Amino acid sequence: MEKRKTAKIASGLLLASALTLGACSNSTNGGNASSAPASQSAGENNGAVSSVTGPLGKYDPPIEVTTVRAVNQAFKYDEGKSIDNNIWTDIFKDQYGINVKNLWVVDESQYRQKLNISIASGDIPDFMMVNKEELLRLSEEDQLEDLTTLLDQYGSDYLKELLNQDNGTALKAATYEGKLLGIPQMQVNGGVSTAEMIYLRYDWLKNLNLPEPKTIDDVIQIATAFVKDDPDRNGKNDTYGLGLNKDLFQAHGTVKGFFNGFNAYPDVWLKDDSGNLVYGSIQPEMKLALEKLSELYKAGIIDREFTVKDWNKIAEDIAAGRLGLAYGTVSDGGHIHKVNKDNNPDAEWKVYPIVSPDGSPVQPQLNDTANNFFVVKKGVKHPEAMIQLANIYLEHYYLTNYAPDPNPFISRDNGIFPGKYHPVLIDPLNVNLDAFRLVQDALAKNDGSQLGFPASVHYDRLTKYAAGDKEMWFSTIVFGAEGSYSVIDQYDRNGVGIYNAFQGAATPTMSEKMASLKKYQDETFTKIIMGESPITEFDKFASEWKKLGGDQITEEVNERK
Amino acid sequence: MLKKWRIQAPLHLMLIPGLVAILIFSYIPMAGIVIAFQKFVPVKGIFGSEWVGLQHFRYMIQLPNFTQILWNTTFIASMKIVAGIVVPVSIALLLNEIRKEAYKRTIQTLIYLPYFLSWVILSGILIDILSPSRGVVNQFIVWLGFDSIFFLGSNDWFPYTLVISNEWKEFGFSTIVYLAALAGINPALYEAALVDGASRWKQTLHISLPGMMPIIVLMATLSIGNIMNAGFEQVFNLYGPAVYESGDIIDTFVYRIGLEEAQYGLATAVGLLKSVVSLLLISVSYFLAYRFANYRIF
Amino acid sequence: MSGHKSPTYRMFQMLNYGFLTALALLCVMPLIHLFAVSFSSNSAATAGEVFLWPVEFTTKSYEFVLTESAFMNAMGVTLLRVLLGVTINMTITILVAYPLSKDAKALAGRTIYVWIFVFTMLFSGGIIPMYMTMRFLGLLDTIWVLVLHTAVPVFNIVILLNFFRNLPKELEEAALIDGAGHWRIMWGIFVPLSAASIATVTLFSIVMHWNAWFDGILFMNSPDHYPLQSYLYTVVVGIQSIINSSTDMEVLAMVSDRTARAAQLFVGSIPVLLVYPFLQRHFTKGIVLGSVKE
Repeated sequence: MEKRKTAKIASGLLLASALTLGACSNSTNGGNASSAPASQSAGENNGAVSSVTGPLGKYDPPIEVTTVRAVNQAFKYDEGKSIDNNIWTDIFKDQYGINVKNLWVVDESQYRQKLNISIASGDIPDFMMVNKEELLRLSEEDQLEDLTTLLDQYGSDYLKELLNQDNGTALKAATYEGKLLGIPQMQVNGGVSTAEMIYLRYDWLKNLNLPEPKTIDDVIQIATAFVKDDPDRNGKNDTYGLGLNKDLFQAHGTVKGFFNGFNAYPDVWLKDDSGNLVYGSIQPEMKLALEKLSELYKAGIIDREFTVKDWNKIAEDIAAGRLGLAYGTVSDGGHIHKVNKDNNPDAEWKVYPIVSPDGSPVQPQLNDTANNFFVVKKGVKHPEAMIQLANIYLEHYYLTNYAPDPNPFISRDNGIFPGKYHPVLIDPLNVNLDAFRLVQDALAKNDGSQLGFPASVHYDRLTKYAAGDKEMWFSTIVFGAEGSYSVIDQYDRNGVGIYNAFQGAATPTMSEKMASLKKYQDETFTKIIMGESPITEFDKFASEWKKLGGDQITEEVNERK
Repeated sequence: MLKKWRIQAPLHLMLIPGLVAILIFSYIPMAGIVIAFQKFVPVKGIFGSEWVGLQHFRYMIQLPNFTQILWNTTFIASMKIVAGIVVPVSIALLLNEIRKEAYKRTIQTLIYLPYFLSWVILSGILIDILSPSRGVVNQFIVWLGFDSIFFLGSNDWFPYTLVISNEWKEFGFSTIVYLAALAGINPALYEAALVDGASRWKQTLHISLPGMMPIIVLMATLSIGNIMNAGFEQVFNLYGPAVYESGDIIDTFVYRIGLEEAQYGLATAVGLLKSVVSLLLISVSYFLAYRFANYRIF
Repeated sequence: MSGHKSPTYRMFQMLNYGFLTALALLCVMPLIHLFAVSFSSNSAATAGEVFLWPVEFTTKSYEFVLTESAFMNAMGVTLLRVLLGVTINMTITILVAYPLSKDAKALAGRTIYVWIFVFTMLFSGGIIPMYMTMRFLGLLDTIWVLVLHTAVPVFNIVILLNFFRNLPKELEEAALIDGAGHWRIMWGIFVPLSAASIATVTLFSIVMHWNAWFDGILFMNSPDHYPLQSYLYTVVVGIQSIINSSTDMEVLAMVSDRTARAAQLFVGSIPVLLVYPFLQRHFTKGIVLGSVKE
């Protein structure tokens, strides 16, 4: 209580000082603002405290905003530069009059932990990145600035365009009771780019004279032959069929794509025919897919030891030339299969869309377009600063043509990638897919001179590969004409893809029961695949799931949709 | 009275820095235990979060698989406790028989090494060497004429694999304190025994072991407090859905609950429960030893 | 101490040597593996081809480690932490263990004191109040936060007080009669006679400070201030989240470099591995006791 009072007094003071500054600023709202009573809280009168009225103005005098940052091992800096002092902070300061101060910087693996602890101790920065749960908690406590009008007033056209790329799904997830409380951080490889695909050792396929996978049966036939017919022609029975990791539904060696082929969607909420939300993991379609997997396991097509292997171990099997078929996601080839190619230059890999039993196109399941949101603490002097920073990022990173010089923000050979130093990273959802398309056009025309970032980088690598630089293979498997993005491109052109139909934060029963239910699910599925439980166990699981809290969760989810 | 105080005063004085430090860095933060009784929400803080009484404890006990998790935890932990005493004590005694000082030191140093490798690294190695198809251990088992064993994938073997691999990592380090105890035994005792013509075995039984006993009892008592700690790091890096049945422990389960959202209340409640159990077991051992052997363990 | 030449004993000794040697080899294996990986090519390491001998030998990862300023920097933080932390730990350990090694008659309230200390070993308030306390004291993001929250190693105290208790009572009594105070008895008799146990708890204290990683990440406000194990944690564990989220191919290739990771882990463990052999000479000094008259 005490704290809130102080905050109010403080914001009143801030407002007062802002008003005096307003006189010399270029604010068109200045007139209105000075007539507003000084006691009014800053949060309710957004325009008044700013000295900039639209996107990309310069604050004069400069303002300071605080935030907190997550970094990781891949953050490298030029000599003398750091997360607190780099090309971006210079731009903020010199061109826009914004000083961004990092209250703390932490390794991203512990960001959540440190954020919550620092919030608990009362240290909330002016703006920060939070997840759905934190967004909900903060908004329940009325700690967040309503960004609805701010985004409208300050957001650049390009920013607004990006935020609506997924038809507003992510924005909706950040909206509570009609207020937009966070700007979704669109993933670089979000949306349709999260769909799964099949990675296949093409030289093995040729060795065995098998057709490319068009149906589930093809996949099974290939997997079987990869185990039994010595695909690597080394005379030893040392290869696996279909690669599975112990977690089943994530990273390389997932079987989500396999399930999707059966119209089965584990771990997400789906809309049924009557428009109600139902949980994918308990739908009857799952049973067919599980049955198939258990047959494969029984026949020795799936590694008997998959239950102890995480994706790292799957990557080992691939690198060592023991595994030639697995489901994965778009960037896997660039770091997993690459190693196999390094070890064995004769290895060839191809990527295929996931398949269904009858060969009809499959609706792959997609991850949420945004898991994180940038929020602004209620009552700060410049709530729009965060949006301005997002504008600045897009303006300098994507919209400025630096030719003939290279874009100063892109990653360089020494691993330095200044683009990432920016505190409000909001990237186009399909930046890589678009780049893929541009690159393919340019390759067809044999002219990459017109390409902007990031397509130019990929064009460069692909032409190097074509000229014989085998080191650049990793680019081909991803951005090449037959690379993983060609599959994504196909999905996108066909307009396929299913999102989780429930976008909100966890409901009460969900946070209470979901972990138990998930355990029950994974245990049951694993046992069915291993043949330790009969397939009929699935029916028991589906009905038990409902009884153990699933029904209640379903109810809550449907109320919230 | 006054004289007694004058002699004792320095002793009390010596305790002051330690007492002040634990007051500030242990007892004051201990106020945070109240989180165990709250629906703790970071933004509301410790003083503003809603009180929920024993809800977290009730929630835990009512979990559909709570008994299984509790059993796994205590089963694995108690085996680890026993192994954690028996193995290092035996190794210390065996090392004590080595007369070549350089050799003894080399062995001591080598067995101490695995302690410093994290489970992230060791688990990768273990999965390889224990693999039924390609691992050296199973190749040896097959060579002996037995069927290969899926140590990490079978519910029958998983808990024992945990205990043995944990001992592999830890025993060298745990041996140190017993070696120190052996070094503290008065050599005159051995000389006297030698004069009496006692064999090495007799000496071990009647001098070395009793000489180590205070430390063994102490270590045993303190480790009983770990009855609810089955080793999160290790289990987390080695388990999977296939061995949830025998390997899912309280800490891993709470971790998976926490993945959904930051469940500080529940995590604190679990911690508190473990602390209470530890306190109970340790203080019971302490008072039993005092009552019946008139011995203070610490 | 010689003259055990019975055939059974010699047989036992042979087995004992053989057994302990085998055990030692088993224990040194993971470190050799790490060593072999660090000198192998990444493609061989990622294919799981490296076991105990480098494949496609290269020193590339060491060139990387030795020029990685973040690694060296973190090593420096850890060395400072160990130096300060162990000094504080040992001062407090000895100061507390000595009085608590007396019986209840010699120290009024001894049992209460002991339990006050032991209680903190069992109960803790968790990280949030700890963080708030440190914040209140203004210690966040300083080296002191790392050495102070672990200032009182109760486990070590309890061990040392046990060792102190087992020293012959006559020593202390004689000294008291000679008019020596407790300070002199502690420094002049107890400490010198407890070389092995003091070496042991010192080692425990070094290892505790060396291995701690979570407090570094929690209390430090910038990765530049991380001690070595916090840094290594970000290298080994933090990496997973990058791989799951990143799309930049160079970044992925760089972070999935197993050999560089192995080299950092290997170099990062050398100092603490060297400490033990150095402290070991104190383990035979118990002989001093023999010279004490009883």
